[in-house]
Amino acid sequence: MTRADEKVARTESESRHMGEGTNPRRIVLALALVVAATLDAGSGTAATPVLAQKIYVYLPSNVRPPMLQRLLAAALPGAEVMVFRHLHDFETSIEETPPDFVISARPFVDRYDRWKRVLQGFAADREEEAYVLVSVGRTADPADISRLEIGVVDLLGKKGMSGLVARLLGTTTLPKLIRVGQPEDLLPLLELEMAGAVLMPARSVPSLREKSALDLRVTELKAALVGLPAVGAVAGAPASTEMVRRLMGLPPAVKAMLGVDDWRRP
Amino acid sequence: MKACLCVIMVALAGGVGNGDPSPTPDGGPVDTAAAGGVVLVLGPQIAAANEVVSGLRDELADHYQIVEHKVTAETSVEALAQIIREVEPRVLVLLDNPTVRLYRAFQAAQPPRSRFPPAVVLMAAFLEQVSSSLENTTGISYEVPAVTGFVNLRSLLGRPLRKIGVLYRHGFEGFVAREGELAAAEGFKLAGRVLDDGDRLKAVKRGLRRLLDYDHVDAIWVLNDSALLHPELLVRAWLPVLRHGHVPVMVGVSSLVSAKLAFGTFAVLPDHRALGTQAAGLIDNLANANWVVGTHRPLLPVAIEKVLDVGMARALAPIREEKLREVDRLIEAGPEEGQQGR
Repeated sequence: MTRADEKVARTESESRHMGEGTNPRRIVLALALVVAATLDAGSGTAATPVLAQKIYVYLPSNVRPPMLQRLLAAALPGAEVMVFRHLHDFETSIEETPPDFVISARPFVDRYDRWKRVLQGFAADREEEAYVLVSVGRTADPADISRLEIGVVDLLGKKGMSGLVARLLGTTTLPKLIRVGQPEDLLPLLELEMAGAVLMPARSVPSLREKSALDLRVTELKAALVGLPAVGAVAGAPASTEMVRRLMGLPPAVKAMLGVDDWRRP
Repeated sequence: MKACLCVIMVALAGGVGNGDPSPTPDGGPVDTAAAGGVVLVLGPQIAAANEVVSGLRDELADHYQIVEHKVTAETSVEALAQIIREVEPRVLVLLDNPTVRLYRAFQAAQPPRSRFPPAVVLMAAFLEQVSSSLENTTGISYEVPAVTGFVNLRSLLGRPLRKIGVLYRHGFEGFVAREGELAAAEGFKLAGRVLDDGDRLKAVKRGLRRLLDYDHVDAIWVLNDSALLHPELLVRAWLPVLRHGHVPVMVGVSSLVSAKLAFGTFAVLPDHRALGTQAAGLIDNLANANWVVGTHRPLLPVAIEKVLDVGMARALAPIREEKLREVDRLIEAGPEEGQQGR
C-alpha cells in the first residue's frame, strides 16, 4: 500500500468517524445539499461530472479535513478530492500519484515549477494578507525577535518555512521556529509559554481573541505579506477550463473554508 | 448493570490503546552513513505508536536513520542492552511506561558513571514522575494540559465555563496545582477535591457531590488515573452522581466518550502524529545542545484531537453549531443508544 493509499484509507476512516453521529451527518449532508443546489442554480451544469480530475488540498485551518473534503466532493461531482491534514502526506501523494490540481497556500504553489497558478484567491479584494506577531502581555520587541521562539503554522516544511519567516520578519538572524499543523495549535504555544510569540494572519487574530482570555498583543510587521491560497494546475498540461470554472463557482461558505472570498484568474 | 459494566470494560480496554501488537519488525542492518546517526525507537507496535513514528520520520528521515525495535514488559534488560550495543543510537525514543521501566532497569544495571545517550520519552503517563530518576532523559508529557481542553470546551459551549472541578488522590497535589496555574491564565478556576481515605467508592461519590453541590462547578475534569476509573467505580460512583450533575465531563480517553456509556461529554487526546513531529523538534534541540539533556525540561503536548458527544452536550448547554466542524469526532446516540442517555 502506498502512502497515498494509506492516506485515502485514513481519510475514509476519519470520514466514517465524522458520520458516527446522526446530527453531524445531517449537518454535512445539509451543507452538501446546499452546495449542490447553489451550483445547480448558478450554472445549470453542475450535474455534468468533470471526468477523472484529481484535486489535492492542503490548507491548514481549524475545519477538519474530512468535513472540507465532503463539501468539496459534493461541490465538484466526478472529481477526486483529497484534503490532507499533514504536509508530508500531501507532498508524498503529489510525488506518488500526481494530481491534476492542487489548492494550497500561494507560497507552496509558487515553490514548484510543476504548478502553473490558474486561480488566485482573494479576500477583501486583496490577493495577499498581512501577517502579524501575537504575544502575551506585551508586544514583541523587533530587536528581540531573533531571541524568541516563534510559533507558526507549517505551510512549506522546515526549510521553506525558515525562508518565509525570515522574509516576513525582515531578518537574517532567524529565531527558533516551532512549526505546528493547524492554526488552533498556536494558542497552546502561548498558553503554555512554549513560544514568545506566534506569527499568523492578521485576519485570524479576532477569532484567537474570541477563544482565549489571554492578554494578547499584536505587533504589526512591515511588508509581511503572504499570498492567499491559490489553485495550481500541472504546468504544460491543458488545464480543465470546466474545473477552473467550477472552482470559481464554489459557494461562498466553501470558499470561506478555503480562506478566500473569491477566486480570480491571475 | 451487567450490560453497563460490560460497556465500561470495553471502553477502558480501548482507552489503553494497546491493540494486538504486530509482529516484531526487524530493525534491519544499520546504515551508519546516515548523517545525523541513528534514532532508536523502542516501544510497542500499536497504532498510536506507529503514528508517533510517522511524525518522527516526517521530520527526521532526511538526516537520521530511524530504527524501530519492539519491546514489551517481557523484554529483558540483557536483550535491550544487546539492541543498544548493536544500534549505537545517537538518541533513544522510548514509547510508553513499560518501555521506560525497562530502560530504567537498563540504566541501573550499568556500571557507575556510565554515560547514556539522550532519551526522549513519549506516550508515558505522568512523565515527570516516571522519568525523574533517569539520566540524560527528557520527553513530552502524554497528558494534554487541562487548559487546552477547557479552552476548546468553552469555545463549543454557549454558556460560561469558569469553574472546573477535579477529583484526585493523594500524591497528585502537585500535578493538579500546576494544571490550575496554567488554567488560571485563561480565566479558569480549578476546584480540586482530594479523595478521602477509606472506602474508595464512597470517597468518589462524596467528592463528586462536594464539587457539584458545594463548589458549584461548571464542568468536571476527570484525570487519567486508572485507580479512579475502574469499571466498578464508574458504575457505582461516577455515573450515579454525574447523572444528576448536569455539567459537562471532560475526559482524556476517547472511549469514555460514548453514547452507550453516557459518561464523558468531551475528550481531548494527544494527536500522535503531531506528537512525533514535536518530538523531532526536541531531538533537533538536543542535537544543538551536543546531545546533553541538561536543563531541557519535559514539554507539554500541543496538538490535540477532540471528541464530543453531541447529544450529551446539547442536553447540558447550548452548542455553538458552527464550531462542530472543528471537532475530530462527533458522537451521538443512535435510535437504540438514545434510550440510555442521561
